[in-house]
Amino acid sequence: MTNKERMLHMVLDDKKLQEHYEYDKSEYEDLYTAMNSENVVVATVARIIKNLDGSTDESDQKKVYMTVFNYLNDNLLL
Amino acid sequence: MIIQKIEIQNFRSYYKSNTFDLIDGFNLIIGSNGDGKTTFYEALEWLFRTDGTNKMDEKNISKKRCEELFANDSDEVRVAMTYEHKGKQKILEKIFRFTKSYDGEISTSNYSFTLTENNGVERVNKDGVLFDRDIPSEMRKFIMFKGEADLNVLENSNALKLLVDTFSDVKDFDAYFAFMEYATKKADQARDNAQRLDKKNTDRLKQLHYTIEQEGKLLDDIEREIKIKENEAVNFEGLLKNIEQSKEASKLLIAVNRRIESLSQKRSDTAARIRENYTINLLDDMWILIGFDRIAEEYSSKVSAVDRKRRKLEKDYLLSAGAEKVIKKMQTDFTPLPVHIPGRKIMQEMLDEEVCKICGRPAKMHTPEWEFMLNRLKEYEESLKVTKDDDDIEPYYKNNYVVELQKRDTSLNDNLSRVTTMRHTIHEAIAFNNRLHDDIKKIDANLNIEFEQKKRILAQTDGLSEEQLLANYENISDWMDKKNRAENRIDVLKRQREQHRGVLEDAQIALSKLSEGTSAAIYAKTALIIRQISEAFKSAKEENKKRLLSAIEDESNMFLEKLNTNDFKGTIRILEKMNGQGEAVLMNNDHARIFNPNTALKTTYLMSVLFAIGKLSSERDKTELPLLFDAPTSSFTDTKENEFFNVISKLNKQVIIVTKSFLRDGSNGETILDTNRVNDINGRVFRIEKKKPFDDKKLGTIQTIISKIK
Repeated sequence: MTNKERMLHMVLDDKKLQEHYEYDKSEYEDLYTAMNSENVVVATVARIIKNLDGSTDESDQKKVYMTVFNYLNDNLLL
Repeated sequence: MIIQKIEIQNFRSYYKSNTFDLIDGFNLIIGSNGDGKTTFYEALEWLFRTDGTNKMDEKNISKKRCEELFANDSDEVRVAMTYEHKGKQKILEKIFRFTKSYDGEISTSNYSFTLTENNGVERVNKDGVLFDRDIPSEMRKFIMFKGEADLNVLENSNALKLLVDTFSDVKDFDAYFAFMEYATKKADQARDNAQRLDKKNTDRLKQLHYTIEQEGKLLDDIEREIKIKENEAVNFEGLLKNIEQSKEASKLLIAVNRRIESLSQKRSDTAARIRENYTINLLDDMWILIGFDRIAEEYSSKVSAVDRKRRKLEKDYLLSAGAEKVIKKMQTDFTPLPVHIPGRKIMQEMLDEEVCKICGRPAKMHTPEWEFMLNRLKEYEESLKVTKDDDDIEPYYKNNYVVELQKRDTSLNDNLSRVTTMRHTIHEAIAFNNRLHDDIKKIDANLNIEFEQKKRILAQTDGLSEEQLLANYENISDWMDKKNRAENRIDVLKRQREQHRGVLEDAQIALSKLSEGTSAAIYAKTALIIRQISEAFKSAKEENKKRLLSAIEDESNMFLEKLNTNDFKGTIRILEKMNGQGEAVLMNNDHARIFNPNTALKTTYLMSVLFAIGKLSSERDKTELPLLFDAPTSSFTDTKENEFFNVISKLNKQVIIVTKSFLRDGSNGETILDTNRVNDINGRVFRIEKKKPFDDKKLGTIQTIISKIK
């Protein structure tokens, strides 16, 4: 298990997030599965972890934000 | 990081060029006293210095090389380390030249400190200080340990935090926190911009924004205060920990001081009761008369003898004078009692009591006997008057000196009872004073016991003075109180934080719901999700840290078990502190902390923590740093040492140990390598020793030679 996958599991382990967005964290062993999840929150978390890649660079932050923002805008069911 | 090669050239006893080719695993460098073990360690210390100090220290130049140089000849001191770090091979190299002048003086020049990176295509030379990026300077004290005492750095509360941050993925979260903060802010801005178009809910939006702003401010204040209080609690706990070990000694010292004070007071009270003004008593209280009875007796017998002689002489005189009158006067042949005997008081007493106390017979009033006594009294009183003797016969004695002496004798004898009383008083006074002296002796004996106890306490308190110990005790309750107050306040603040977070969250959700059915709905929902993911990252970090500390605890105890087979070891517990700090402590089975484990146990427990962190970091694909120990097993028994090397060789981690273990004295006093034990070692082994022959008084003949044994 990679560090990113460990981080994914730890974030998805959050009780409030699980309650609000009803996902089964055990279904997401790796980043790839999580990124392709139908659950937008799971997929968003996976995108943040994968795309940011631990960078603190502002341009990277901007890029990842836009990716996440657009993804949520495109996929959120209201 | 893996150290592949260490080269040491002309560095003290390392004459000319010397190389250690190391493996990724256990590396053992065996040498006896003075063979160059510590020099090896210190050569690396010098190489790792990035602060610019000790650049060209002449003390580091090989004496042997200096002595063999010709005038104007030069050579260089060089220490280099080739290592692999994050897939790149690098060489850290520190060099300076030394030149011998014609008058034999050594001068230094051409210092260089470089970090060469080999990126596969070319070699790039960089400043050696960049080595700090590979091993941060604050981390070096956690990888290089000179002797067992150096491991004490691991006892520092901040040490565990630093190690955990460096070797675990806890710190990886920091970049994500920064991003989530940025993303949350951006998403909120997008939501707010979209909601501004929603005129229907303007008032409600304003109200919610106001609540969010206020709650945000309150939460900031609470967070700030929590941090302040956490710092306070950590500080006071640190202070309390520092004096924890002396607490018992402080208590004992206070009790001893109290007893000393009480005994000293008792001694001074007792001494004050002693009255030994005997010189004054001699005259003021007439104690000088204590021997008076013997003098009075002697006086009495002498006066009596004189009187008898006087009366005899007088009688003889009267007889010889033949005076009938005189003869008549002398009716009896016996010598009559002098008129003053018995004395006036006694005579009056006999008359009053109507009894003759001379013969013991009654003498009723007006009987001849009584009248006789009355007459005697009158005679006596008459004798006190100055009368002119109308006797015809010239008296034999013209003066009554002897009578005067007799009267004085009677008076003195009357006073004898007072002397007896005085003797009694004197004896009582002396006995009383002696008793007080005995009491003082007993008090002094007890005081000596207490002073000895005090000396013992002070001798065993690691150099703390009496004042420091007493001050510590006074501080304990004050610091404990302040620490408790800070912790209680933190609890209150955390409860308040939860409450306000709830209000804030509700407001955020309400804000999001308010946009439902409007064009801002999608932005509101996005902002809410990003905020919730942000919170999830935060709690993930905390959870991760807790799990990690728990894993360190478990792993540490496994190492501790292996390093202390069949020996008392206790249990390692990781105590979570404020500010994310943690402390690895050793506990007894009754959960009492073991403050002063023996050196071997302390070394093994601190090493266990170190190994556990190393193991967990390797499991998390984190860069591991090698460990370098100089003489880490000085306090170990042979068995414990074998266990230690056995554990080390299975660590799956690069460890370099310089030691004199595996050497024993031969029958001829020579040092012999224990090849059986060396063969059991799973790793690389070097033997370093002084090249023979050498002059034991000439440093310039000392040269370390290296041989690879396995």
